Amino acid sequence: MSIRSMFKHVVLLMVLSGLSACEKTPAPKALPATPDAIRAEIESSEAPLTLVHAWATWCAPCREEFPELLKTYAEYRDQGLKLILVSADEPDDLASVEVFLTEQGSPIGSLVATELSQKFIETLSPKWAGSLPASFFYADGKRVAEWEGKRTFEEYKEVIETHLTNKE
Amino acid sequence: MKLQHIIAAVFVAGISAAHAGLSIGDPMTDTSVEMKNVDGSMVTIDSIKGEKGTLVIFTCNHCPFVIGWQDTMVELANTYAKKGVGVIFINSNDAEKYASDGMEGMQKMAKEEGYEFPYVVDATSDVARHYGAKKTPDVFLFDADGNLAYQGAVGEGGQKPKKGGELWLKDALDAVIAGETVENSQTKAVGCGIKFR
Repeated sequence: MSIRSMFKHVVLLMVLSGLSACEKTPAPKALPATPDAIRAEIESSEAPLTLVHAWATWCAPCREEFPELLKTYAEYRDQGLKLILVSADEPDDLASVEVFLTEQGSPIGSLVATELSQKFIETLSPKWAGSLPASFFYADGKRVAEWEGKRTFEEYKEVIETHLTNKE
Repeated sequence: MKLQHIIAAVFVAGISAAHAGLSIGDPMTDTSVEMKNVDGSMVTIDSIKGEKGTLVIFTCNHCPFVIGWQDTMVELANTYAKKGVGVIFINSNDAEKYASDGMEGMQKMAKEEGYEFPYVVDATSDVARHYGAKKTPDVFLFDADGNLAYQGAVGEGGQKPKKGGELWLKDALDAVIAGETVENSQTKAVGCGIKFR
């Protein structure tokens, strides 16, 4: 095989492996969602524990926390944790959300709130003051834990293991 | 320590935890805490109290919600300052972790936006903790007696005011200077979480 021929094969293999990788992990999508649609998404979850995380690409603590969040999801998704991301970015700039999620290697996409109204806040929790980031845990259709501000993997782990253990 | 002291301490701690932050009707707090203003002077909330009421807004330099609401907030603050309402904007963010929230940025913002009131640093973030402020912007309006009359958002909308939407803070300011009870005394809006020290 000539060097030129080998080069062609190498290039072809790289392209095919790239395509293959794309097929396995489709780029995470951003999807606009009204408060009612967000509520429906939460209520339709059949997972033992659902974590709804409110965030935004422009929010520094949200960006800092994101790797911890994804680590948490990777650790507990097979044990029954469902993660629903809800972005407070502008709904007409979905690309920024998708670029961020791709950069972070997120296996899931994010809802993007179409309105940041009181209805949106109350949809996630009447106790939420509206600050970002914020996390809300639901089990059996009830909110079982919530907090405002960024957390570490260990802090997520503590509350998740408490609630997943309670389900056993 | 006697048992009743322990019980009392636990009881008080419980009450304190349950009442983190101010509720409507509560008196103004941290009024003698000295905070550095953008002009270099030290300012207390006591020193800026207004005859008709006092407006305290927890804000910062870069949050998109602050930027989006800035024109409205400053216009209301400057307008009602002339009507007897004391005004102070407080930055409680940790500028060591988030450099854009430093004094230089505050001075630039106050100058460019035409602040006619103090814009000060809450150096420990404790003022925000004691008020129960959690995000920027977060509004606390006190009546002439120094009791909390309104808390929450500037108005209806998200990152910026909704076209034709309600301006809850303006309604509250009008009620307070008229000596009336604020009808819609608590509202909510999404904002940037305060970066506590």
